[in-house]
Amino acid sequence: MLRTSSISRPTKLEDLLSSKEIARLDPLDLASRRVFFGKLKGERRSKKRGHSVEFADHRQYVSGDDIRHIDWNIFGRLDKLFLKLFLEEEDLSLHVVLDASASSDCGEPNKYLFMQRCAMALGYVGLVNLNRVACTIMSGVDADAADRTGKPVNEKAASSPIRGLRDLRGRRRVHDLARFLCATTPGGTLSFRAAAERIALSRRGKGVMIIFSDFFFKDGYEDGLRLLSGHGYDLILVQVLSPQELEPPIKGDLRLKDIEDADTAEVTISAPLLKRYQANLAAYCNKLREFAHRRDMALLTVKSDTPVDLLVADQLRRLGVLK
Amino acid sequence: MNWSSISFISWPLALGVAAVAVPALILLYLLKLRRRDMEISTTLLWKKAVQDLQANAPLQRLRKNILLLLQLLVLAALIFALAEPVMKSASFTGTKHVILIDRSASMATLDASDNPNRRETRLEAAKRQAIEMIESLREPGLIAKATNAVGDEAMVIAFDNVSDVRQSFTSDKQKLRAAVESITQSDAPTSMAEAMRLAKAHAPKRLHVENNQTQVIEGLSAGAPITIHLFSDGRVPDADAAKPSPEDSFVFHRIGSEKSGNVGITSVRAQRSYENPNALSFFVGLQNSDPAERTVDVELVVEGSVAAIKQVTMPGATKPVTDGGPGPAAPLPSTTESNTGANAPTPSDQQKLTPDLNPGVGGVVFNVEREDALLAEIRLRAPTGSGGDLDAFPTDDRVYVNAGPAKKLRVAIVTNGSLFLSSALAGLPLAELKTIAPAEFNAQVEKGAMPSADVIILDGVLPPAGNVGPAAGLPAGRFLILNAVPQPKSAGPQSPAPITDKGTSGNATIVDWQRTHPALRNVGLDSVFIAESREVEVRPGSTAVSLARTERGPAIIELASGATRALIVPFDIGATNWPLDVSFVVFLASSIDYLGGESLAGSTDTPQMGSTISERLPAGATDIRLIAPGETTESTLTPLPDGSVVFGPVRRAGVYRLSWKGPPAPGDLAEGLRTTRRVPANLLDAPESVVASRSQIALASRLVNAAGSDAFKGDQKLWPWLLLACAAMLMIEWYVYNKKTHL
Repeated sequence: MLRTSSISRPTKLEDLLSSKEIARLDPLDLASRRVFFGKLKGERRSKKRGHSVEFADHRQYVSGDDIRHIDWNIFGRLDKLFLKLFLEEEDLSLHVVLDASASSDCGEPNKYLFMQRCAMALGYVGLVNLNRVACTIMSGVDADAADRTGKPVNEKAASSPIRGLRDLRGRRRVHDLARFLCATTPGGTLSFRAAAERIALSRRGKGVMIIFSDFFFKDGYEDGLRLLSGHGYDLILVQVLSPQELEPPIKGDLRLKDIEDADTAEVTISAPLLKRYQANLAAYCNKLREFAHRRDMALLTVKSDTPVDLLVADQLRRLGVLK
Repeated sequence: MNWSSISFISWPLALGVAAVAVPALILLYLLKLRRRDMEISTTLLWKKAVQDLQANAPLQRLRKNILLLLQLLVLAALIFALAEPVMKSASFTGTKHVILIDRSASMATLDASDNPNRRETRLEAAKRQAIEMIESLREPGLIAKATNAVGDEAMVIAFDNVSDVRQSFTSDKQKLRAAVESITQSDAPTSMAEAMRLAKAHAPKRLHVENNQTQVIEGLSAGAPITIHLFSDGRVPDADAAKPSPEDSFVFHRIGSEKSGNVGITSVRAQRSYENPNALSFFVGLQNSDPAERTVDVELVVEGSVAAIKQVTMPGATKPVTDGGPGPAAPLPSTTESNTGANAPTPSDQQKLTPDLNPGVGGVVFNVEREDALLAEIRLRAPTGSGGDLDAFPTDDRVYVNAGPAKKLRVAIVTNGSLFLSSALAGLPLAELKTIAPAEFNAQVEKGAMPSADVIILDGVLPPAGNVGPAAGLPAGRFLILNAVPQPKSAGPQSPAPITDKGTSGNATIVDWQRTHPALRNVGLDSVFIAESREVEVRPGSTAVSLARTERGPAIIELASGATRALIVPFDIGATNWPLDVSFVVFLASSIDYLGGESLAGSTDTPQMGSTISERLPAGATDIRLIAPGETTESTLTPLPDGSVVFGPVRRAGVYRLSWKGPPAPGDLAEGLRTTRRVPANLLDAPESVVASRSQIALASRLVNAAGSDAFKGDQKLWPWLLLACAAMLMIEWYVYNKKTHL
């Protein structure tokens, strides 16, 4: 809830995932609640008949079929032309989206660091199993960035709500993903709808999309999620909350300042107010869950102090994202 | 609680503070709090929560704010405390109070406390109540103090049969308290009239200004009406002489119990038998003011050892016959609050003062055979075996009385033969009566040897001039001189002779004499006719005093100078009808007793409490000191020119010890170089011995009922209670705040 007082940003893969965690992730593979067509040959069975070694079915030959697939043994016995069909194996597209607005840079442990580590873990599992992995950062627009850093900001980069890395495949791209994740720092105000629109427009193919965010968007999460849902994406929402957001450790007469838009709320912390806050938070989460279910999305609400390997190997696995 | 009786001393101050503090407090609530800034991830949920709890409109913000309500209450309590609210007692009307404290004998009664284990005299209770009353006097408020204004003022007067102002009008409670605490018990009877006069005298007089001339109007006091507080048991015989001004209040704080009965000694006398002087009788008069019959043991203690005990039973006190009984005949307006004193009495106010019971009386006589002078103590005790105290008033349970020695006087007559004298003196119980011829007397005197007699009667003769003392004209001794006038030498033009003989004149009758003089007591001289009187001039202020007068001048003269004392009858008794009158024999006997008896120590008459005691000491007494009863310090006395000492007024009953360097008179105790005489002083006052306190007191103008016990509560300060309420509300506020912000 509060801005993390001192944070050591990760700089390399080892900062995001320890070797022990990597060892626990190795046996896992991505799964999808739905079966999508892949783009490249992968290690995933496809609905399509293809060219793998696994036999699937026979069918009668129609003109135009590749005669290489005719089962000559059957033709010899029955004097009819049958084609031999094989299962096709394809890759799976995994798209990890992180909310890098200033509100993510809060909490103890830091919510964004938690998201980075989760994204790295999922990306690792995807890359190791020869899936296509994309990663998108929804970064906030910081109007004061130029003033703060003193450097001119690339206008395009500053105005673009997303930054991405796409079409990663294979184990050797793990470090690329780690570098990309480490290179981002959260900040600024995020317009979730704009970012979702950009993601929806720029995506290719189908697959599993996992969005890490706290979903505290002043302009609402509904429009953004609506844009992302459908179009063959298996959408999984991971709502990351810090423990302090669940039980605020504050008291006294305060002027609460929104870290993103500098909006203020004057409060005198009292027991009824805290109760009211917690009730509001529960209602907000419930509303998000209801929305997600209605759109056939999966929602997982986690605290930022949850161990990453537990989340990935247990909770996401139960959700059917990993196997 | 009567709200109308609450007043505020410093209400302008409180009003000012309230005008500032209350709006300030409300403003503080309306103003925004100075809050701590804190950055959080999102205000989304907080805003919603705050919106639910907080309304934005200022008035709505105040709504249901229990903290503000409590703080306003705390502030209100503080402001009210600042206004110094006092709850006024209805009896406190004036700003000037006169505190009269009765210290008379009956105030020593031990019945003022309800607690039987803690006995308290009425005076102690009166002083305690008076101090309570002083504490309750209104003090100037905070503002008034700053402007040197004064609060209620009071003066303190203590009275028995005399009154003294212990403290004049002041608002200094410390001084008033000290004045009340300095009042000590006295055994004197009660008289309030003087105290009332003193109270009136100290009140500021009303002034009348006309043509720039200021005139004091007697009988009217200026300023606010005075409230007179009488702390007494109501045993004030002369209350009807006290006349407070109509506008003044009179509050009677009754002390003591109405049911206190008392047995006391009201009279005592020691008398020797005329025929047998060794037989000494003590006559003791007793009084019982208890309605029940009482039996007491009367003890006679002679010189420290019990000589006799007699049991006496006295009837109980009875209701007096209403017609002509004591108490005012005319109904008086009855007031407990004196504000109504000036109003016309309503029929319900009219009531009679309940009369006292007539006490039962009794007496006892002790007969002892004692020759020498003695000091006897007579005391009352509860009957043997009954245990406990006799009554609550111990002062009149013990009296002291002196009895002179059983002494007969020796008398010598120097005469040429007087039938009247010798026959009159023959009947008197004298130790010795000898007749000396004038020539023989003169010879003895010239030799310097006076006849050995206590009293020498000179019938028409005078001692020879050569041996005559310079001032008195007589040698040292006691003389009854008939038909002659001693001619003392003039000591010079500055001190002319006290008596001048102007020779015989015509007939005369005695027109006036001192009936109280011991020699003339019980003597009637109005029938005496003097055929040939003698004109004598007595110089005023000299050692000679005229005891009886004819129309031509002094007829009987007392001359006292140093060791010489003489009664002079200048005319020839043979030329009067006096010897044929019984008064002549009585005069002879009284004057011989007086002249000879003055050498006897201690008269049997006991002085009244509150009066002075005069004792004649033997010639040559110096360094005279006095120890009062119950005291250890001696006071030094100076004798008067006639050899007597006067002290007093005596306030305590008991034995006063006079001691001096010099010869003892018969009956005095010689202790080494010093001689001691014991002078008893007793209460012996029948009205004072009736100790049941009265619930009403009849003043000249009104009948005042005893005020309730809360009459002296007076102004009760309320600010401590307000501060207490303030503290309680602060605690509630603290609890509410904690409960509200408890996480």
